[in-house]
Amino acid sequence: MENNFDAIVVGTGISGGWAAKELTEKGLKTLVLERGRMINHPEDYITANMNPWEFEGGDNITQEIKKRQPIVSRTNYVNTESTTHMFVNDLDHPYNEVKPFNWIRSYHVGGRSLTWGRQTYRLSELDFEANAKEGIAVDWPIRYKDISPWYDYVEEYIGVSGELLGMPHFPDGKFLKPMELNCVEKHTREQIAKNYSDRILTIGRNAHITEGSKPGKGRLTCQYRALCRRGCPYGAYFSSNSSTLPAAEATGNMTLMPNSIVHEIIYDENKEKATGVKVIDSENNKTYEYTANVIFLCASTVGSTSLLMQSKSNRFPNGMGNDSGQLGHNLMDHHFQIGANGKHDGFQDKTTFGRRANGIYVPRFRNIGGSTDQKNFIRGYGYQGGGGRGLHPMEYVKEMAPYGEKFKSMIVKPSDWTMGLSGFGETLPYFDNKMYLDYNKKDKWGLPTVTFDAKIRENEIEMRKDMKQQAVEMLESSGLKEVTPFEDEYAFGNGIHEMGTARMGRDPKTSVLNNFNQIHSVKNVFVTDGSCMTSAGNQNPSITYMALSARAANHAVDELKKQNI
Amino acid sequence: MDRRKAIKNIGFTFGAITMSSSMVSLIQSCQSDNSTWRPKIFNKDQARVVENMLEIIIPETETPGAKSLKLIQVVDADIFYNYSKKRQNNLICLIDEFIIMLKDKEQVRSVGDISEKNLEKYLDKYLNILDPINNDKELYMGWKDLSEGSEWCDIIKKLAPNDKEYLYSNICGVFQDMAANSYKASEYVLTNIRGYIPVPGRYDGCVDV
Repeated sequence: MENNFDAIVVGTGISGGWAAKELTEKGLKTLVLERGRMINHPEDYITANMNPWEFEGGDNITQEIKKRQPIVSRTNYVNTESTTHMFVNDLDHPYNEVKPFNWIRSYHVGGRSLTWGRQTYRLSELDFEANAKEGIAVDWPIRYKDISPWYDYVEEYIGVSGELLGMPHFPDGKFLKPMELNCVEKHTREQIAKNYSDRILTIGRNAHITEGSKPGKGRLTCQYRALCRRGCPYGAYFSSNSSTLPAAEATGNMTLMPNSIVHEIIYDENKEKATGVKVIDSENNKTYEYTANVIFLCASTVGSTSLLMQSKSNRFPNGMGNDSGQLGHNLMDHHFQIGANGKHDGFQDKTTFGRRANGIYVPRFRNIGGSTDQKNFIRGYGYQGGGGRGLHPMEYVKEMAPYGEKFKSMIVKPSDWTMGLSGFGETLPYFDNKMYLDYNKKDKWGLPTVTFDAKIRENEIEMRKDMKQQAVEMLESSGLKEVTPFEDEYAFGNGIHEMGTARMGRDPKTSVLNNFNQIHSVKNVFVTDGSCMTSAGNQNPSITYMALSARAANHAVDELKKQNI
Repeated sequence: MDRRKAIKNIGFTFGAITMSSSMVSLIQSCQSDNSTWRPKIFNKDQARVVENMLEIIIPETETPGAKSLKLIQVVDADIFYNYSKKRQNNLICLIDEFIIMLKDKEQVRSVGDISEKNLEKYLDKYLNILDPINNDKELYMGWKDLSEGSEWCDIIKKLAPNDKEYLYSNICGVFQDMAANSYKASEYVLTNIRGYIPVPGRYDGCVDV
């Protein structure tokens, strides 16, 4: 096989797919390396058409799953029988926790683009300016205007449904028609609009096709099955497998190699450039080297950062691009699992049809200026959640009829509508929240394991109080009954939004990447996954990774043409 | 700790966590009938008692009941796949204690000799006469320690007959949960009562029931 390429992309998830598409479409012969197995769209979605009653353990996280996925099982939801194969065997991929850190991984072609939550929210000018204005960490080297056209470009290509709202701190995009709110959500939306001048409830903006089709490998309109995490045979939500990788494949310029663990980037001191990568074939443990003019690291935040840390040389004794000492630091996630639920006693004669794999969204309303500014915390949070109608609680039915015909009929009768709000808050970039490598504990390929040491701190803890209180207040003032707050123990990583460990910045002394995601000191290496994030915002981040990846790839092509890299 | 109260609490908590709420049915359609079905958890006596109890709780009416829907197979599989070994053992131990009591009271050698009607008597008694609810946290933790230890079964075997009444009440509550959860998740209920359609094709947020 040819070992020399124009470009190498490491990783095939949300960002790797985009880098592969853009680079190959611009004519670069591109090697795309994925550490996990192949998953072809749609034939490898082995559970996609199974009915709920067809799983032996009832589509739960069975005891057997818990044994091989003790970490993934901490989420309590992502890895049931229908989706367990979409996540790693934790025993094969050990890591270390100084403080609890839930590292939820999908090692296969497509990565977590197959299993993501599909919520799609742009960062705003407020987010890009915040660090500089508040003196937190370092300034983002870009502003909203730099990324806005790339958000447009990505959204139009992948298909994002949502409502246009005209709120500067919650920028609109190129949206397909929004999904519909249900009865109790519509009611709550109306009440919030009446009771608050600074808040709105809208349907979630999600990366689903709600009308027509999109380019890729058979991407059609959402069928409202809500079985997304199994892989969608209709290609209705965006994944690398259905969208960007088929586009890259179609150019004839992509060589996709699964089962390829990149463990080092090769650095040439004379050229002051990276020249290629070292790869372990996970099936036969042999090592290979591939060369290229430009390298994109899209191996996920922790994956790419580990790879840089492992890439030591005379020039970079502490890991490639780590002149600043920031590599591995400033680890962020979104903190959540806090909010409130309530009951609505109306709409007894109403129900829903179809299963909408989407919830509601309440955009950030704290610290956006004027009376919204808070004394106890900076930044803000949004609410996700939604309404629904379940069955009567067992305790209630047991009391009414302990067994027999009445019991049988009551347990399958719809109960009251419920409505829940669950906050998703911004976590600040703290130098002390970090990951690093342990060379004394190695994995089965002889590579060092990752150690996490991160926690939420005072700003997040203060914000969480408000997240809970405002959820209660909003539901109560909307006329919901029996409003009850909830707060589950949040462990870092649970948001599955780990980011920030190779941040972008203006100054090489305090950041790893420049304004186009290039390593300051190795300009032909681009890092475009979550590790590049300078701050987290409170928005679900994937669309930002896609936009930054597309932007960086196009910049790389321009720079290659100009022979700047 | 008041031993009687502690046992009372053991019972409630055991019942409350039995069977996951998202429990979904399975394989009825893949299996021929109960005569060829081999339980993964229950022995013959346990399967017979549990199956009869499920049928009393979810009887055949104008719609299928527990036996027609083979809910016993779903319950057996749920325990097999989703319970830890310790929890499986504790549950089986509880069912065995219940069977010992039944045989004794009914003066029969085999549980097969107890009619559904006679079984209903016990369900009626134990679901109605005792209120095993107790929210004492200290007691709850006591239960947790016991249940995670292998000695739990030995402890309950040695209880005085009066203390065992709470266990019988509890296992009847467990039967209720088993029946309800397996029924709700069955293909029959999902498709015929709850309107489950594999590919809805659209979403309407507010339509008439």
